Amino acid sequence: MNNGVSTPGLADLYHLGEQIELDQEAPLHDLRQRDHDIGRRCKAADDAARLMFWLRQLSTTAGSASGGEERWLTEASAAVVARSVALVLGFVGMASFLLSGGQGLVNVFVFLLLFVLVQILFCLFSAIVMFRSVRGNAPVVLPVNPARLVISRAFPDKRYLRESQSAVRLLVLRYGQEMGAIFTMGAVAAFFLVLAFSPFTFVWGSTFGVSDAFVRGLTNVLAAPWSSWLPAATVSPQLIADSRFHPAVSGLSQVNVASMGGWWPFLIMSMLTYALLPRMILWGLSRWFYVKLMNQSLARYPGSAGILARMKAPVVQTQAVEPEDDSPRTPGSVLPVDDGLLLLNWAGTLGTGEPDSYEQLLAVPPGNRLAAGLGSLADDAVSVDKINQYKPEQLLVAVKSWEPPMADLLDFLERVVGVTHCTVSLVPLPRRSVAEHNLQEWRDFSRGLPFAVTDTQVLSRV
Amino acid sequence: MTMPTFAVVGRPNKGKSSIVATLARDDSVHIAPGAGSTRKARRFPMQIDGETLYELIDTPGIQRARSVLAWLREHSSDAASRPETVRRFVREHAHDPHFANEYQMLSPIVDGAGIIYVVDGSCPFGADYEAEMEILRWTGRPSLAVINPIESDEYVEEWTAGLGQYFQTVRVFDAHRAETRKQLELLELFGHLDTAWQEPLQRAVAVLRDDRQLQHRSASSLITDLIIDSLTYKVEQSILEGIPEEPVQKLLLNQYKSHLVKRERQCRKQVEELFYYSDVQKSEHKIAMDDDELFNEENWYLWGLSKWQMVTAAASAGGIAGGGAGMVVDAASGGLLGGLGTAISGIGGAVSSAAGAWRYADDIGQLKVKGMPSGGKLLSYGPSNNVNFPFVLLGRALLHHSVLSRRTHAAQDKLDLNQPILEWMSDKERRKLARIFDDIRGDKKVPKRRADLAQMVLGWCVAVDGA
Repeated sequence: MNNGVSTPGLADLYHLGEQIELDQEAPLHDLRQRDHDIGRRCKAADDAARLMFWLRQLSTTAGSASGGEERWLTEASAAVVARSVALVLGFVGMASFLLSGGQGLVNVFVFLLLFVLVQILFCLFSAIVMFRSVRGNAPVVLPVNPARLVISRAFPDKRYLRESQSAVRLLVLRYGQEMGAIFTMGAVAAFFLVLAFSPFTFVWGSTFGVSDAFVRGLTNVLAAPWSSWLPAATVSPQLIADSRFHPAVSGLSQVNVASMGGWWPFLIMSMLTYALLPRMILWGLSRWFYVKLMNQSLARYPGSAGILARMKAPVVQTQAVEPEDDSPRTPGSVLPVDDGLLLLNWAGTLGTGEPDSYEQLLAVPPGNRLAAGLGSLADDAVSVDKINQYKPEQLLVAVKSWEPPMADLLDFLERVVGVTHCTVSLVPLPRRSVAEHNLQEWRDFSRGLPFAVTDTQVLSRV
Repeated sequence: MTMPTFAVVGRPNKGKSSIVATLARDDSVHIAPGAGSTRKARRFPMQIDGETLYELIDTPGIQRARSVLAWLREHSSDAASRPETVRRFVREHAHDPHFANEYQMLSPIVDGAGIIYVVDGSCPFGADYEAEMEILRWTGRPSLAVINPIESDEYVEEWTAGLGQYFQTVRVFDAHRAETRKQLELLELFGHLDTAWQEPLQRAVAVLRDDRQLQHRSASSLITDLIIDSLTYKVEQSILEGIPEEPVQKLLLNQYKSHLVKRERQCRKQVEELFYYSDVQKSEHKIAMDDDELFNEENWYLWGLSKWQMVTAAASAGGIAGGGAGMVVDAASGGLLGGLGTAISGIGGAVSSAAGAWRYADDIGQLKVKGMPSGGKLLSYGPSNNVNFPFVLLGRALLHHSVLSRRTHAAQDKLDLNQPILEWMSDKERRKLARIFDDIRGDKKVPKRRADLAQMVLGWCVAVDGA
């Protein structure tokens, strides 16, 4: 982690979840802007660090670092309690074991079973759990696992982190290994302390017919890791022979008793190598994997991908900056229309001879046909004069139904005087009917024309 | 260097606003079937982190082209003075209501904008258009013509020939149906109007292309979240001993349904926002797929899988799970069973899953009643075990995404989502999905299954642009 952002914890996942839920209702445009601004300030490269930075920034903006009520026992204080208990249990366990034996005799086999073999089995089980957790599974955690009590203090509320269970398992494991290691340290401390004040005699014996050679082989195998550089912590054949014990045989010679104390370096090294060291390794590994999985959980949390994308992607804006002018429309002011016994071919709507192709235009005498809207404004003026002089009863204006009414035509018709009836005649496109919206527009247009009577018709072919 | 600015001009009702709405991805643009919907020039700057790369200006349709041209001719002495004459026209008619539209149209052009002249390819070319094209030529600004075939492309050829007399570049662009690739191509083409505009336009196009990818990625995440939520959601209610269960059962069922309906609606809204649609839900754009329809089992076979597809998918998922258990037995027996355990449990799993899928095909979830140590009962509804339900949700979400992705911001019609959805999905994909859904239901490797599902959904989302 860099950028001054701490390692994520379970609480961060909860805060992330809360924030994502809050964001669900916010407009996306605002989120884009907000997250990109944060992204620009963030110098971290990896996803988890960027998300942590994002969370911190939002917490700062919101003015409160985290929600949730204050607890009397936090995760940290629960961990301190658990560590202390583990130390005490380790110490008391070893001391009780050493002091509970009669005649100051300690059976090496029982010692190895309790403080080495059981520990190794726990470590092995933990390693399997770790392996499965790292692979994305969520192995079952025993209800009696003391680490659960510590973890329970880490959850801000009762929500279930469905997709982060592997990380939760590793946290359990991390605390478990830590407590196991502290337990072993307590046991080692007790071993030294009790040994300093009370003489012990280490013996071995079994109801099974175990030979000296077997024990020699066993101790040699166990001492293999340190026998070459710490020979003092190995067990000699003589010591094995001398420390064989059977309850039926009473009376251990003082010489033998003194030499039997020679077991302790071996036993200490066994504890350190097979109980403490694996715990420490597993502890370190679980811490490392926990951070890794926690980062993964944060980056893969539902909704995180969106945040990261928004932080990275520029804010792209293509939409209009000002709202549309929605003042009331005045359809007649710009776009009106008209009618007559004289035909006005507007803007080349009808080709040569085409008026005879339409039923409604057949009655128009050939001499009563004018054109406008295509040439110059002076040409238009000539046509206007002709209409004004002729003063037809009805002015038929042929227009393109597919074109909208234009102010150009309105300007022209406004100059017509002495005509009472104007009919806007819509010429349809071949093989097509006039669209309803076009017809409506022309109707609106004709209503706004300066004639006493106006109407609109769609021309039909003969 | 001046910022590239493009004035979209033309007659009323020729699709200028549609082109702007599509290119600016802005569905707030008022597009009416009638003419004159744009009465004031409106600016659409393309900004990246506040930096404007180019600007589109939607202008009102020209109304008095011949009058303007007559004025220009009257006030111009020679060809060299034409641009200045247009500028003079704009200056002198800034407050003239008679030429309000012409002023709005010409004003950005004399200020340096490039010209995008828009015509309708479904209507014939006419000589009456020549006056406005002549005016545009008088401005001396770089220009290109866009033929927008609003209803058909019947007159596109005619227009291409006519426009070729006035414009060096003529392009056909269907504002209502143009896919993203074509939209970006057109924008890139705008850059060619001026060499100084090429670089910002290319940059803008690259950003918009990335933005499109991001839209698909984000949409696939949202859809994945929705599916997973639907697979894991349940409601609970504890009741005291002696309280009747039936009303509580109904309440739970309603809560369950309303949550999922709300969740689906939320997902849709977010996807629409991703694609810059702000008002798809409004009446004129209303989606033709009601929320309540989600729980109409009759439609499930339209949106999700058919009964047989569902049974096959369930059998596959059950077979894999059963086979997995059988493999453990085989491994434990040191291979003495010769794979018999795998075969038997695989077949058993497949048959029981298929039978369950068939039998509970019309049940969304199951109601469970548990006794509580403190007395009373705990009633719960969900999560849904129905094989088809996640397929239905996925189908609806993918169809919604697909329709939105293919739609342009100029489109005003309803989003028709009532159509068969997952028919294009292969059997292999269906089986894979069924297994993913099964694992998520069973809380198995959820992060991995989420990633698998998101990957598949992303593939389908991205494929929309390639289709």
